Amino acid sequence: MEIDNKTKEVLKEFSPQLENFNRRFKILSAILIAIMLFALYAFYRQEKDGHIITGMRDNVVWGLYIANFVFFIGISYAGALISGILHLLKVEWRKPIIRIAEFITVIATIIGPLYILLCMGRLDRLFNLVLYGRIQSPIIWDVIAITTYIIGSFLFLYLAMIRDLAILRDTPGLKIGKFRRWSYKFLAIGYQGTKEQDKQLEESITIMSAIIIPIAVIVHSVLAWIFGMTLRPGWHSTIFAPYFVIAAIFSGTGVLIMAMWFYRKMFHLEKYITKKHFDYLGMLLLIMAAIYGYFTFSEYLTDWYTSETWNARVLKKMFDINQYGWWFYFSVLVGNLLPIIVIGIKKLRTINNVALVSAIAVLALWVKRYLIIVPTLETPLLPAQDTRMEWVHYSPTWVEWALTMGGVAFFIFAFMMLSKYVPIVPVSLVSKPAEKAAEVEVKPTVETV
Amino acid sequence: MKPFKLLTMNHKIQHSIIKKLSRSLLIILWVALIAGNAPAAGKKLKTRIKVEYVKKGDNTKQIKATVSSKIKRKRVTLKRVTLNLFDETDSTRLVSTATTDKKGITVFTLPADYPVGKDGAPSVFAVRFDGSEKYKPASKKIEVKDVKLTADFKVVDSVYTIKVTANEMVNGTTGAPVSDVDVYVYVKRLFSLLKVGEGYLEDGKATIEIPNDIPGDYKTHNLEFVTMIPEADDYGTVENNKTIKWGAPPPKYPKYDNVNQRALWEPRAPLWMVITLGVLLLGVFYHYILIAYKLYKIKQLGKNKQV
Repeated sequence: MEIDNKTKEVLKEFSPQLENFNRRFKILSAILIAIMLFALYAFYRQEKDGHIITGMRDNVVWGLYIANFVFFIGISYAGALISGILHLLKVEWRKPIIRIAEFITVIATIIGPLYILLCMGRLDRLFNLVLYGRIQSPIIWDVIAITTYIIGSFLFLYLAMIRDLAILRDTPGLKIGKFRRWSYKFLAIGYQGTKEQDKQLEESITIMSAIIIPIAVIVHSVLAWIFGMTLRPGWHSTIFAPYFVIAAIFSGTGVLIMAMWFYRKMFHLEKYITKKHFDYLGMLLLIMAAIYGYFTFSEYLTDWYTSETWNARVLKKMFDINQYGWWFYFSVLVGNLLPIIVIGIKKLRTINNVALVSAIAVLALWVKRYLIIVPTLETPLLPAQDTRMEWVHYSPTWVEWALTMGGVAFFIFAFMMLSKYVPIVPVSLVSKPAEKAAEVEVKPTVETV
Repeated sequence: MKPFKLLTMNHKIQHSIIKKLSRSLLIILWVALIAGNAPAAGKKLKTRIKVEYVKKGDNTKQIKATVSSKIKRKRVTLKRVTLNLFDETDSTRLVSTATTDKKGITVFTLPADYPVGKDGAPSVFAVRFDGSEKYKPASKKIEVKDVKLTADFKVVDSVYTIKVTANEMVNGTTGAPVSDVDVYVYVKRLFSLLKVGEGYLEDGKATIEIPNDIPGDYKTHNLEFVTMIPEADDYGTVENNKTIKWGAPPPKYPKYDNVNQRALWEPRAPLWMVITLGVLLLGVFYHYILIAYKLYKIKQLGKNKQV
């Protein structure tokens, strides 16, 4: 494939990131690998000794693992929705950030379901889920939806990488190993940039961009229905599906902004990831915070006003500062209002501030997932005979924390490794002239003299 | 000067008292810690054996032994400990050897024809633990007589009635009746026994009435009754088992009512659900396959260009 000069220039800027593994990268990798190994040990202990070494018991059968599962599936929205929509609208500024978003989607979609496996008492019976799964069960809907979503996310990322893989294959002088060069050749599937090939590829990307959006919405709705279709206080709510979808876009945007900030600093991408990106995505974060805040208020107001016995019990736990009060106020007030205030006021809307409030919002959303799961399960509808406090109250053990940290470490590590494999900014896209944009340039209607 | 001197004297006395006090406190604390938490080196822990005798419905006899010890003021059962069962009725004779399970329990099963009780005198069984590096040896004896427990199931004036007879067995023949002992009737359920009636043995006889609305097996309507003298001083636990068609038939629900159609145990999913899921999956996977085809096409086009 012939590579034009502009592409060569752009690739020249990114080649050091692909070729060099500097000391900082190695130290960070070592730390992350150590955390992952510790998590692996925790997993071994859990499988050897059983779930008794976790905090989960007869009443609270879901804890940190399911909170992590919902969280990771939520952040996977970054790529699915944001890059999907921006591609369909042919928004020009998407180009430098689209790959970061797609990486988030694929990695988070792999990690999320792993937490379901950790939650299962008998992993050796996993196959029974496939053999004897019942279509009536929302859990099976979830298994089907997530499997479909994982395949779709991989396809979407792969399609968007083919052009760059072909460029890397045909760029001589890159200081990379033989196997890596062979892998570029293999994955580029003979793409030469011909008109016909380009047409096929573009059509494929457009199809994927269009279908990944409803798939993502379905996946998170199904996830919400696992809770919503259960007759439990705090879960059984018709608003849950859209509520989860909005929370997912909110957290996905937050993680995308964090990743943009990190790569901008690490790889000095100031030329590509500009203030404009933070402004636009910050605005999206603000809108999502507002909608999410509205949903939250509506949900809790309805529950509080009707004060059904069991709902009231869960709410009491949430509002009581001696129980989950501080967590609740942090997740609802700080996590919602702070992004709105900081991004809403122009003076405060700096790159660092937008990244900071994104991080706080993401943390608040993780706490919210925990609050959706644990207080409800700690309020059993049918109090069993001889229900002791230690059986009802949940507190995560070191095993669960280790596996949670392991998941986060794997997320960062996989991100780092992928960004060493292909440029974090799509070279083929940023070196291409602007597409026919959906954005309309506003011209002054009255000419000044 | 004087008051100053006195003051220093006082200080010295105070100092020595505090020193002595703190030293003795430390010693007390140390002793308490050692005595309370860890056995002194070489000192073995006391062991306790609890023994129960059960004569099952099929006439086999079980001697259940539980071994435990007190560690840090907490009673803990001892797993994987070897126990010996001796018959000490006439002379001491080793009957069996077994090892305790995870819960510190071992059950010795004696065959149905194993003689228990001789000439009206009880049999003496002893369970012994020879001790180990950590634990002292222990032994526990139990004296039991053999009892024949029979249960006759009859419907008397539409009432389900069980007539229980219990007699001591002497050298294989029926002996004196068992008296002043409680007797219970249970029904076997999925996890444990459900008590359905009780009586009192007088002159070896008791009559127990039981309810007639206990749900039985779904198909056969059978109930498995266990008539039992539990933990009697002279006889241990004695059981009699019988399966009889006394179970009430389970309530019948209409087969295809609304509840069952939506029940978790209903084998078929609602049709609309299968169709919706099928259409959705077909729609998505059609596009995945289409993209796979397009990728194949890209590869072919690349090959043609290279040629």
